[in-house]
Amino acid sequence: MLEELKSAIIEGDEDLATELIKTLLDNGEKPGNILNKGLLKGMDVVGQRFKTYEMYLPEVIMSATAMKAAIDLLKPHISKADIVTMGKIVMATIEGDVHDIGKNLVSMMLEGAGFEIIDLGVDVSVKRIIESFCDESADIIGISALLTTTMLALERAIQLIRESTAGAKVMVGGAPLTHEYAEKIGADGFAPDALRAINLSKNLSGK
Amino acid sequence: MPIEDFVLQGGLIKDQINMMHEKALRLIEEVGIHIPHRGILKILSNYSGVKIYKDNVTFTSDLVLEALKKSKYVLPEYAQDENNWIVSSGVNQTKYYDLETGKIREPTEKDLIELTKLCDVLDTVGAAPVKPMDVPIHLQELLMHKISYEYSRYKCNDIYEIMDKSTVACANYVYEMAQAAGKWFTFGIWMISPRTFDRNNLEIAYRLLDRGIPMWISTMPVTGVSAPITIQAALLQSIFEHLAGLTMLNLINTKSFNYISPNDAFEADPFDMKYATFVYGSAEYARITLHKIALCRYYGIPIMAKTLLTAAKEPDAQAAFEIGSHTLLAALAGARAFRCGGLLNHGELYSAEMLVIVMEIIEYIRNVLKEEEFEEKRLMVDEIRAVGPGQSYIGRKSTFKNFRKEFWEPELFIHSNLGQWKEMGAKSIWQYSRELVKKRIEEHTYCIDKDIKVELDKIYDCAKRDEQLKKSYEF
Repeated sequence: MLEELKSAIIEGDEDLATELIKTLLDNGEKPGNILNKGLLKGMDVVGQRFKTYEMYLPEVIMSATAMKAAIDLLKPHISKADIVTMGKIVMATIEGDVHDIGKNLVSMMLEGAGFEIIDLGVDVSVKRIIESFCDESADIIGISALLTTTMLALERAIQLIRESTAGAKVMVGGAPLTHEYAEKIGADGFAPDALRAINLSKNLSGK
Repeated sequence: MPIEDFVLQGGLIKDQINMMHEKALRLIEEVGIHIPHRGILKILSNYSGVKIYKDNVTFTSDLVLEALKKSKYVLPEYAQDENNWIVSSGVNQTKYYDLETGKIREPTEKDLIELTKLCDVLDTVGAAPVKPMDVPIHLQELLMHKISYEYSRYKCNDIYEIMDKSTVACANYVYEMAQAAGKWFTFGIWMISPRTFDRNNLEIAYRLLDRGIPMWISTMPVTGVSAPITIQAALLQSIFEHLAGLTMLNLINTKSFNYISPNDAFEADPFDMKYATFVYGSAEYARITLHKIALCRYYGIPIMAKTLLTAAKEPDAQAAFEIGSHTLLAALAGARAFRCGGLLNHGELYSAEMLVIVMEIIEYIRNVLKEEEFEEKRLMVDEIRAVGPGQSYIGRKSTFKNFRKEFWEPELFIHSNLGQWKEMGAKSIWQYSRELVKKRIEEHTYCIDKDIKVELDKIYDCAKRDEQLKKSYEF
C-alpha cells in the first residue's frame, strides 16, 4: 500500500492519497514509514521527472497539492523523531515586486522535498525577511525578483541580510536573473527553476 | 488599376467580439478590480457608478463606455502614413549578446549608446534597447531616457514608448528632461493579473495626477497562470482588465487624456507548462496576435503587433521562422507596426544581429505585400513579340531600366550561389549581420541640439548628486 501511496502522489490524486493515509494509519503502519517510504519517495520521482521534462507544471502542482494534503493528515501522528527535515527556508518576493508564481512553485516543491517553508508572500521588506529568519531560526533565505528594478535591489537586500544575520544562506531566483548576476551580488546561489532550487537548497543546508 | 492587396481572412467576427465586450462589461460591473491605493480610492469614491468594497472597485458600464469614448491616441507623424512600416526595438533588456565575443553578458552604458545609434539608423522606435548595468540603479532609467533623446529621433518620444519610471523622484527627473528636450512624456500603469496593481506603480501615478500627463494602461494575463487556460478566456480577461484600468484612469487623471497602450493592447500570453516559461513566438501566440488585431480594430486602437519575439536563444532558424511567419500573418491581417525587434529568448536577451535580421525580414515581407499596378504596359506584349527562340531579355533596354525596381535586393539574405558564397568567405548569417550592425552604427549622424544636450547634462548631474533619488530605490 505504500507503493500505491507513492503512485497516488506521482499521479497527483489527492483523494486517493488521503484515503490511503487513513487506511495505512488504521492498519498500524508507522507514520515515519508512510512519510519516508510513501510520500517522499513519490515526490522524489516527481522531481526527477520534472527535471527531465517528462512531467509538466500542472502535473507537478497536482502532485505537490496531493502531498500537502497528505502531510496535513499525517502531521498529528508524526513524532519529531520521524521527521527528517532538510532545513527551514524563509521564502519571499522582494519589496516592490508582487509576482509570485515561481516562488509559490518553488515553495511547494521544497516542501515536497522535506524542507520546512515559511512563505512571507510578496512585496516583503528586507527587515521582515531578516526578522522572520531570526525568529524562526531558519537556515536559508530564498528571495524572488521578476522585475529588472527589483532584481537590481537584491544586492542591497543581500548586504543588509549579511549585516544583520550570522550564517544565513541566501538563494535568489526570477526570470531576469543569471548565475553571474547572483554571484556578483553576493548570493550563495541561483536557481533557474524549482527542481534546481531543491538541489541548491540541499547543498546550502549541507544535507 | 492596382492588383488587390493580399489579405488574411477569418478570425473573430463582430458578433463574437460583441459578446466578449458585453461579458467584459459585466465582469467590470460585478467582479471589479483590486486597487490597493487609498488616495486613488478616495478620488474614485466621489463618482456615482463606482462601488468600492475594501480595495475592490467595480464600475458601471456607462463609465467604461465614457472612458473608451474619451481615450485618445496621438500618433506621431511617421505613423500617420499607412505606407510606413514601423519597427519598435528593445525594452530595457539586462542581457546582451556581445558583438565581438558572441557571449551573453550584462549591457553597459557604452552598449546603450551604440545600440541607440543602431536603432536610430534603422528608424526604429519604442523604448531604450538595453539597461546600462554598469550605472548605479537609481540613474539607469534616467540615463536610458537621456541617451534616447540625445542619439535617437524616435525613441522614448511617442505613443510607442514603454519605459519604466520606477520611483516618483525618477519620474520627476524624466519629466524635467522631457520638457527640456521637447520630448513626449507619459506614464504607464501595469496591471498585475489577475485584476490588481503594483502599489508603488499606483503611487507614482497618483503623485503625477496634478501635472496633466497622458497616462496609459497595460496588462498581460498569462494563460493557465494569471488567466484561464483557453486563449479566448485569457483575451476576455485582458479586455476586462484593460477596460477597467482605462476607466480608473479616466476618473482620476482628469487633467489629461488616457489610453490603452497600443504596445500590449489586449495582450494575452501563452505559458509553456513543460519549461514553466512565457512563450513568445509560438503558434498560439501568433493566433493571439491575429485576435488582438481584430480587437484593436473594434476598439479603434492603433495596431502594434508584437510579432518580433521568439523563443529562440540565437539568431537561428527557429528565430527566423517564428518571427517571419508571425509578422507575415500580422501584416496580412493589416498590421504595419511591429515590436520587440532584436529580442531573443522570449524577450529577455538583446541581440543587435537579430535586430538587423528582423529589419531584413520586415523588408522581405514588405516586398511580398507591396502594391503592384496592373497596367497593359507592364504586360510587355511588344517585348514578348520581339524576343524569340535563342534570344534573351537580358540585354534589352526594358530589362536594364526596370530590373532594380522590380526586384528587391536584400542586404543580408543574399542570393549568391554556393561557389560565390565560398569565395566571399562562406560567412554565416550571424557573421553577415554582425558586420552590418557595425556598418550601421558608423552611419549614425543624428544628435540633439547642443543647447538641449547641455540642459540634459545639467539635469543628469543634479540627479547624480541627489540623495533622495538614490534613497527612493532603496528599502
